Amino acid sequence: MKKFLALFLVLALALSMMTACGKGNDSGNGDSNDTANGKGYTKPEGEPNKYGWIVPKETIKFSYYDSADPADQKEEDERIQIMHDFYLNEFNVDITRILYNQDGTERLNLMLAGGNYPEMIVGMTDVMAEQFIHQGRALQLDDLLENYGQNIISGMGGYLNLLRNDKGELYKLSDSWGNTTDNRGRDFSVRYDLLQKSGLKVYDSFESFHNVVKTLVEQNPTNSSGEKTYGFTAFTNKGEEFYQAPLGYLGFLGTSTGYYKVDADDKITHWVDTEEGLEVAQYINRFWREGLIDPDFQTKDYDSSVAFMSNERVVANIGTWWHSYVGGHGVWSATEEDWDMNKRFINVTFEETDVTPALIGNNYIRSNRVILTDKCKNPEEIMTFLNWETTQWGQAFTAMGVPDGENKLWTVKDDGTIVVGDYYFYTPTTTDFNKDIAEEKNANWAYHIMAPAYMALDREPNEHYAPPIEQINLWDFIPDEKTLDMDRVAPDFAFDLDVVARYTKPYVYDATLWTVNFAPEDAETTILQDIKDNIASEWIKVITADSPEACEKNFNAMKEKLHSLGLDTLVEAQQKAYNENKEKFEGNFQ
Amino acid sequence: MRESYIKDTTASRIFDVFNIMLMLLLIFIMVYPFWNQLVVSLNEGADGQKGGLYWWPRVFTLQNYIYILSSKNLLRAVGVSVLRVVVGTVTCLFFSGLVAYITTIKWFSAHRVLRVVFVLSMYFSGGLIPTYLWFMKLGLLETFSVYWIPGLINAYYMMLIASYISGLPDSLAESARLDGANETKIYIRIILPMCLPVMAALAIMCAVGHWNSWFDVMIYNPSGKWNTLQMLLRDILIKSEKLQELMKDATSGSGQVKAMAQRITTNSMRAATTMVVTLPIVFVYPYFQKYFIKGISVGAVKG
Amino acid sequence: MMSNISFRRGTAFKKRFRKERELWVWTILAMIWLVIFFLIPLYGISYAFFNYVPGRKLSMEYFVGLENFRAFFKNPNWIHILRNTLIISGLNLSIGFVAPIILAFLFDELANINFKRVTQTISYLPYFVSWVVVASIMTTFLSSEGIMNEMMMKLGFTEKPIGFLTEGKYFYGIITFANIWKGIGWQTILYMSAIAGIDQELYQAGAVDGLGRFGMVWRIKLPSILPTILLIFILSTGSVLNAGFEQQLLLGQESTRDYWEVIDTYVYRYGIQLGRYSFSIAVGLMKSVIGAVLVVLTNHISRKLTDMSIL
Repeated sequence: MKKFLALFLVLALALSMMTACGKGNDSGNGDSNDTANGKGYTKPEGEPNKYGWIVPKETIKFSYYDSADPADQKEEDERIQIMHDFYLNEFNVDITRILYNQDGTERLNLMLAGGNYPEMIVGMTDVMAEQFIHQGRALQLDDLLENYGQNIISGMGGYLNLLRNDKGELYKLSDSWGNTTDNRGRDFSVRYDLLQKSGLKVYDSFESFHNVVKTLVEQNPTNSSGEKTYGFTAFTNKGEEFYQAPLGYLGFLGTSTGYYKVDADDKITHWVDTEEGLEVAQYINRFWREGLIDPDFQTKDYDSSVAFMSNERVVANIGTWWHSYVGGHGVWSATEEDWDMNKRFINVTFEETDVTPALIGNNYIRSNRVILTDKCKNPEEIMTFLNWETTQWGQAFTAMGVPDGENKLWTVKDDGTIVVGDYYFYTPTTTDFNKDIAEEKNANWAYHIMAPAYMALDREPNEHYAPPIEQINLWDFIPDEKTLDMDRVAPDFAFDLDVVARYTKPYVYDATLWTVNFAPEDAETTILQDIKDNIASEWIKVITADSPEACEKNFNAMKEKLHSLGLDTLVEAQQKAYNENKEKFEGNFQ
Repeated sequence: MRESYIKDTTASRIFDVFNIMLMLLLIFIMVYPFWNQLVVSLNEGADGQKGGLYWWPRVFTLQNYIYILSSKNLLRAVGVSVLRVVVGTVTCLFFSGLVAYITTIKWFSAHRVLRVVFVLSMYFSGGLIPTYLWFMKLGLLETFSVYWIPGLINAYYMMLIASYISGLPDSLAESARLDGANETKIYIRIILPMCLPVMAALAIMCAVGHWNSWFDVMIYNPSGKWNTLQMLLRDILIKSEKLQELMKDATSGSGQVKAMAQRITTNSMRAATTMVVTLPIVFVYPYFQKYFIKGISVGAVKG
Repeated sequence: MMSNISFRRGTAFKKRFRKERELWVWTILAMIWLVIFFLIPLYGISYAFFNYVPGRKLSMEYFVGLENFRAFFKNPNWIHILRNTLIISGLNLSIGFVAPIILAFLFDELANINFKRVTQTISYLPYFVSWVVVASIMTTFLSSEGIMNEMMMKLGFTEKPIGFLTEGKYFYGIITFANIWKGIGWQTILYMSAIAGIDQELYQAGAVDGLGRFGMVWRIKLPSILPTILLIFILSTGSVLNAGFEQQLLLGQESTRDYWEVIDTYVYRYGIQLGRYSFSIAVGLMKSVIGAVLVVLTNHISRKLTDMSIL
């Protein structure tokens, strides 16, 4: 019997090893560069239609896998049917958007292992894109862009170089790019109606913010159900925003690896190694010791934070600016009968020192990538379409869907002017219209491969729009930062313009050159995760200390712990990445 | 079982009282979260986000259920789920039981090897990607067969059934053998019926496993053609989890984030999906429960 | 005489061979199934010794030997991780193992069949409530404004609210309670079916011997289901390194990580999420080997002590 068992196991293992040797795919031929020139593709000629697209004689057909969206294929297909047909009829372009109900990275790994991936992949992480590229699955894009994608080249400018590999070859693109037009990032915000009632001035420094919060809590100790109120609570970041917002005000830059103080030579110091870091810790710790922070802030998740805020348990917020919208008047405007427009959180930015705050970082090339795989048969046609997608017309269609005068979202007059309708403006009384109309009737965001979301092209403001846009809808695309006219911006639904305009300023910093993506086999990958984990847990100990001395002690303990985990290696890697990106940006390749 | 030969002492009665009190406490602790989910599911979504729902809905609505039950493809998903449960459970129990029976036949030379090999198989696995590639080669992707063929023999169930069979009198099988029946017939005609209690218990576990499965659907049948109910509903659930992850780090309120934010489903919707999936199980369960809660009498041996 | 014996042996042998042949057919079929669905994909284990990237063909240049295994021990926290895993599993294997058995017996003692059925049904409802919901309910319950703290302050056990979820030392208790609460009813199903299969004659014999209610349980019912109990226990020891995953990620907070990080969560966060697949496969392999060894070991001990064995 034992002999039988042994024989059986040996045979079986041998069988499985034999199948193993056949596993792993043959690398696809990576150099399909000849498709750009050798296939006899001719650029379409003729007059562009009223949307700036030259309609080809034969239908252009392509499909792409949107790996960032885990939506249901059938549902989505039904929703975007109208857009699909529009493109087919007016543009002679047949686009299929492939979706899977699964985490994109998981599905991409399965596709890569099994060799059954589609011709274009959108929304993949940089790491996954590199994996495909290293295995020779992606087409080289230099010639394609040169011949068919001039808009993309001019739109991305020097940032395109950041996507090139060390030899200067381009294999991946970004699925969106541009400057952000948000003028707030991680902010201090406070309940406007309570502030008005209290008669206090709007805060303009850390100290006065503290004073305002303390006074407001004293004046409003409970909500209408008798529950205790606090200064602020944490949203999903479990308290990490308590250091991120103040550091932003002090000019620290936030990158994917952490927050840093940047000196004049672009040399960085990690925030735990700076004095300002300790000062911020003491500042927040004071709130804690005075009972102004929700004691359960660590265990809050998104839903309970929203509930906490909308139940009026906090008078202020330190953190991401739109959190105080979803938890505040996002709920109140929809559920209260006679909602007073002043019952909302307002964000106020101030310059305490002469350092320019850095409240929101802009990553010009965003973090998702687009590749054309070696299964792509008509890269030239696809590139031509992408080139159009990045024009203003492409962006308009992407964000607003099918132009349809009836539904009052937007329409195009014969002379090419875009007319936006009432439903374009997102006002409190029409909270649902925009969503219903845009999603269901106009199929907005049906296809989005490369359209820069913020119309960062050089053009005169409102050139194509009639009537000129007085109110800017925060949620949809708005003119880029250069043309942002503060007097006419109304991020908070077109009311109290002067309040908003007076108190918020655009403090955006360019974080693009600071982006670094570590490969899985780099040591820095685990170090970064370690650092992230430990900052999260140690920071909580720092701010919940019982006394300023204990706070300082915990802060130094945190600093030591991080250094022992390899903080120096990480900072070096970050610095190196910045320097390399800078070189790349200027076009210096090896 | 209240046998008449058990004496009714005072200690016995006190114990009964304590037992019942304990049970009532148990019922309360166990039922509350489930009840809470029911309450939340019957509450209006936006109102439910404010929290504070405990015993009774605040703003009653059937909207969440209507939304789910009017999902397109719901009927097909339910059909696939039911078919999967029936086919999967029946085949798994039958074949696991067959292997179990064979391992209890002491005079069969390979009976121990069979058992050892299957037990060890419970602890090792080749991993997701090799399995996926192999299934791809076998042509099991985008099929219904992938739901039950790879699960045909469950080593854990096999062990439990074998243990149960070992507890049955040997004379059962022996007398049939003397009569000239072959082993397969013995298994089907004699052993299986005697194993009703353990089979009923395992049927529940196996059925619930199939009913709740979504991972293999997602990996092997991604096109949605063979979606089970859980997979269909998971689509509703996963959107909110994934989006909350994304929203966690998003500082900018771009159009895309907003479009995604509006897809986050409310607590009430998620609770309703839990109910839709669980209530059928609760309704079907008693039919199986009666086989192991009352017990059957093992009496027919001598006859 | 001799010829008679050999003739009889011949018939018996032929009969036995015929019987065995039928069984051999099934056995071979079962083995083939096993080879197809278990053995062939098993080559994936070899990835643990390479720097494996999905899609990239394996070749000797990516061979790293035991590096992926060493990586687990290079992390200074591995001791905590192992400690947490063993403690949480240990609690599950002790309290968490005995509890359903006791509950099954308690159910069995209920007189009213309908009450028994309803209670047992309700007892497994938590199994179907997802961990997300359980964690959310427990978070509210244990928060500083939650019922638990309110009660404890009213009864004077403490002055300030206790951070049950934010202080690590409570974690083991909380997760064990949650695990038991969620699984106990479901786990009674198997034990109830085992009790249901006990031969009635044994009860009658016990009654003749003068056994009371407790005696029935201790002398008849418990020994009768002991094989089942042992089986489940031995098989569970193989899972001692699986101490949970979802519960830790949901109930655990940043400040209590030293108490909740177990092997599975660590492999997920530092292996799969960071794209280090070989690493996660290597740790998985270690777990498999240890699990299998433990099962064999525990079985051996069981055989020595109780003469019962599952292999």
